[in-house]
Amino acid sequence: MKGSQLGEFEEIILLLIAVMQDDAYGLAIQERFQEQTGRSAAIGAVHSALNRLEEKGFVESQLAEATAERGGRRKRIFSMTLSGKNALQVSKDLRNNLWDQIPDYGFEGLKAVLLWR
Amino acid sequence: MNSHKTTLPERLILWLCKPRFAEEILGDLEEYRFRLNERNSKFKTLKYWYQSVLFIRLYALKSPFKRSNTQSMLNMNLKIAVRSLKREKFYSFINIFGLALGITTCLFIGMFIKDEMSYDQHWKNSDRIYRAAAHLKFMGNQFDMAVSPAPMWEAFEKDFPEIEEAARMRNLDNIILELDNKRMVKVASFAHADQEAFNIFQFTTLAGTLDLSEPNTVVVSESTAKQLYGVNESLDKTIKFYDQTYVIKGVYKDIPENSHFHYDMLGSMANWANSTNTEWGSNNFRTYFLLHEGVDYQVLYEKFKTVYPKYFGPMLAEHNDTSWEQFLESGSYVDYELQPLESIHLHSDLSYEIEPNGSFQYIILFGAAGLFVLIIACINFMNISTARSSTRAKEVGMRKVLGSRKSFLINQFMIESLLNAIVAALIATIAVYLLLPFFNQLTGKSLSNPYFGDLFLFPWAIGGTIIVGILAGIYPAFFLSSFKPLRVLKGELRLGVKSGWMRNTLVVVQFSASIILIFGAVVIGSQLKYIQSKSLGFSKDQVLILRNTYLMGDKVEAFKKEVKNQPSVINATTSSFLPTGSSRSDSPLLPKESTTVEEMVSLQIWGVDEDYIPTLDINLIDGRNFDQNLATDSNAVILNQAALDKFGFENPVGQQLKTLNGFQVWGMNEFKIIGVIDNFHFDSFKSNIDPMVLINVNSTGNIAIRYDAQQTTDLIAHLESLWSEFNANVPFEYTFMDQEFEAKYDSEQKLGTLFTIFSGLAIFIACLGLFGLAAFTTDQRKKELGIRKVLGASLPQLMVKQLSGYTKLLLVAVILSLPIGIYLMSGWLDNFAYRTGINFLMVVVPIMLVLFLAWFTVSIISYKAAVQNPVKNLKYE
Repeated sequence: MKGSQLGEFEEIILLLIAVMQDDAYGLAIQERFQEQTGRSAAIGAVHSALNRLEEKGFVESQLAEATAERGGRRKRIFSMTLSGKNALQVSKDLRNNLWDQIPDYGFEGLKAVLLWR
Repeated sequence: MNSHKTTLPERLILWLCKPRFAEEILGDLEEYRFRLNERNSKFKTLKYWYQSVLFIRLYALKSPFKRSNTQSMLNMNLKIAVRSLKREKFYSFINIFGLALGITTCLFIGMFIKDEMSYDQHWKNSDRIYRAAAHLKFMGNQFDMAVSPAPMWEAFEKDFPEIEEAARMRNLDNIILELDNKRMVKVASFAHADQEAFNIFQFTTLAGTLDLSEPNTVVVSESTAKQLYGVNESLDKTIKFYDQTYVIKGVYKDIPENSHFHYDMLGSMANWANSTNTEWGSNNFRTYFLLHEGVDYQVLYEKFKTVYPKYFGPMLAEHNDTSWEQFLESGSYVDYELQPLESIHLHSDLSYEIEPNGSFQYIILFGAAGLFVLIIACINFMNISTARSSTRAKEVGMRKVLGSRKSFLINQFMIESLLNAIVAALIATIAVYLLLPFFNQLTGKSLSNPYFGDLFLFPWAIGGTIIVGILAGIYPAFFLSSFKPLRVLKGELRLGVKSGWMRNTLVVVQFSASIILIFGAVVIGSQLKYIQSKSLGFSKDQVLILRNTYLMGDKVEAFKKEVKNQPSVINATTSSFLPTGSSRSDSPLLPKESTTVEEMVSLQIWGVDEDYIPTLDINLIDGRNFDQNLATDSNAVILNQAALDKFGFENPVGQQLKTLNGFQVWGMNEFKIIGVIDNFHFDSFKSNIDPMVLINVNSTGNIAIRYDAQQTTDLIAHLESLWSEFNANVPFEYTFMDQEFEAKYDSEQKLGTLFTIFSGLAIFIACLGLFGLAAFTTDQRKKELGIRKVLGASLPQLMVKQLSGYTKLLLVAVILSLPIGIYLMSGWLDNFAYRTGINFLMVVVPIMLVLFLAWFTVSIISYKAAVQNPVKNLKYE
């Protein structure tokens, strides 16, 4: 198994899967991603990320029903696994933890540095 | 399922991506396209393509190898192959360099052969086009000609429904055109053609229409049009030749190089006086038939036989007073063969071919030579690999102990050999592209871009490389992989000795092939030398020829007189017929008192003037030359020895000859023999000298000038100024007779050069291999040499010991190769009626050459080893 780190792109995709539930398949995720982040991503890039997530064991997938607009081809619906949820949790905890460690004057100092420059 | 067409991106994805992903990817793409359509978005196709192409990512790609285990094995094998290639730089160099030379040679030969085989295939329907060729036997004279009678095309088209279209061409090569502005232009190849010819041969029209149905019309090739008025400007302009004015109706694209004719201009058949005659007895036209689809030409050819009596019967009755039945009974026959168009270039070698054709025999010779060179290079690889087996033996043993299967080891060694072949092929490819101009010069072809151009050698090169890799690698692979691990690791396997007999056999094969090639080159070279030095019966040196003098009309005599007045001119003669020219005239004659046609002899009848015999230094053996002052000489003839032998006169001078009933030769029916000349060679050395007579009539095609060698340049300048006085508009062109003679043996010259190159390459590659082999075995015997030296062996003794082993192999090669070589080359010599024999020297020279080169090669190595201080070789143990 490859490393279980979550990249930023992967993390958002994983979150989107959790949000979208039964409707989480490649194209839909890509569109939702563009909607939410305002960034564009190739469908291929989303697929690639989904594939990596599946290899890491964070998501699992089933083939769902076929629709006419897909030319009779079936969707692959992704759903989050427990370890996926854990990975998200770890990532969130890490951030929270780091946020908590920022001293009160941390952002003030940043402002000062910016001004000084 | 929606029945929509699969788009190109979809196909791309299906082809490239793992099938596991294809379903969802294609589904998403389809839905994406559906939504794009719904939203009516801009650049739909572009967006669709963009998204599709971005799907092709590493994760989704099909793996080129089925199982990942094999894949990693392959990677490892490749790595090992590269390492062993690098480790043994010396042997790798020998292998790769030899293979590269072999592959380069083969590629060039492949190009040559492919080009030769492609002749006339570019015509549409080329597989349904046939040319009629005559095989006639007439009163003991055999004719095999690429020509047929004038009425045949129409008659046969009516008789046989299998024939879809028929047409004739009547070629008169080398004519001079006069343009509107009095400018003169030479057209090298011209023919009168029936309009139907364009239905058989699909010329590409560039301007106007290819229409010769009206008299006094011509169509010209693109390059000729450029010389005349320009491609489009030439249309409807007029040109003049042979006192007739013609209108240019169309321009066609130049006929490709690989065609059996390259007419620069075609004229209406209506302007050829004999085109409408119904004479079946004279063969002057090239007749082409386009057959209907599915017609078997052999069956049609058999059917031809049923109509011969109908056409040739009346002809025989009129001219020869014989019936068809009597004609057949006397052993004579008429036979018109159908030659498939595509086979003409390589398989047709008849009289009156339009241009000299190729030869299938030479294709086979070249192919065999190329294969020899390649095999020699492959053997280098085999020998060096197996000889060096000892260095790989431990590796093999270790791998086997660790569980490697034999098939894996075979794979590994095959990959090594393939890698060698691939590197060699890359070098060869570069060499081929670099050396192409030289090759074109050598073969007289104009080939370009051999890999991806018309020749499309690319797949052949790839396939060939793989075959060479496998061929060279298969024996070493099986040999090396069959080592018993236990014995190898115990050190029981004697170093490379086991495969000794096989290696020796291969060395023998290499040197046999080299000797055969060198022997071939020597024989071809001697035959060429024989042709050049054989007494021809006339003297071809110091003779200058001016062509197209007939254009001066009546002024030729005056011009000749002026030429003769030049101080450096010894003699000059006007005649249309020269031994090195292509102009010929053939007719039968009989002794005057003969009553049966059986005594008829078919002869070359050449119109010459009284200066012909002295100018060309032809030897008069009986009687006298023509005399201008004797009026009775108007029907005088001089026979050659061959004609005399045929007629069988005891006292030829004073005898009379006559033509067949109803035939005239040069406007005369009777002739008087005044002299006999020695045979002289006016035809190829491939056939015997035909009977001929010289007749004293004006034929003004050329002037041949015998000059004093000291003042050539002056002479040419003088002649040119003289020429422009008489013939201002016609370009001044001169050739030398000896050069024309050489040109006749052009294909033999090329064969000789190519064989010399091949044999040089063969012996070089073979010696390269021997060098490697000797280096290795000497390296193995270093200790032995050291001990021998310590015990008092002298340098010569050591060298002899080393050389004797190889000498034995070479002698076996000599014994094997000589019979094969002699058999093959005497077969080639049999093509020539006049040929050199295979003599002792021709056999000894190649053998000594090969022996010497091989000794030299081995000596370099053994000398180095033998002079070395024995301590150096012995101190490690």
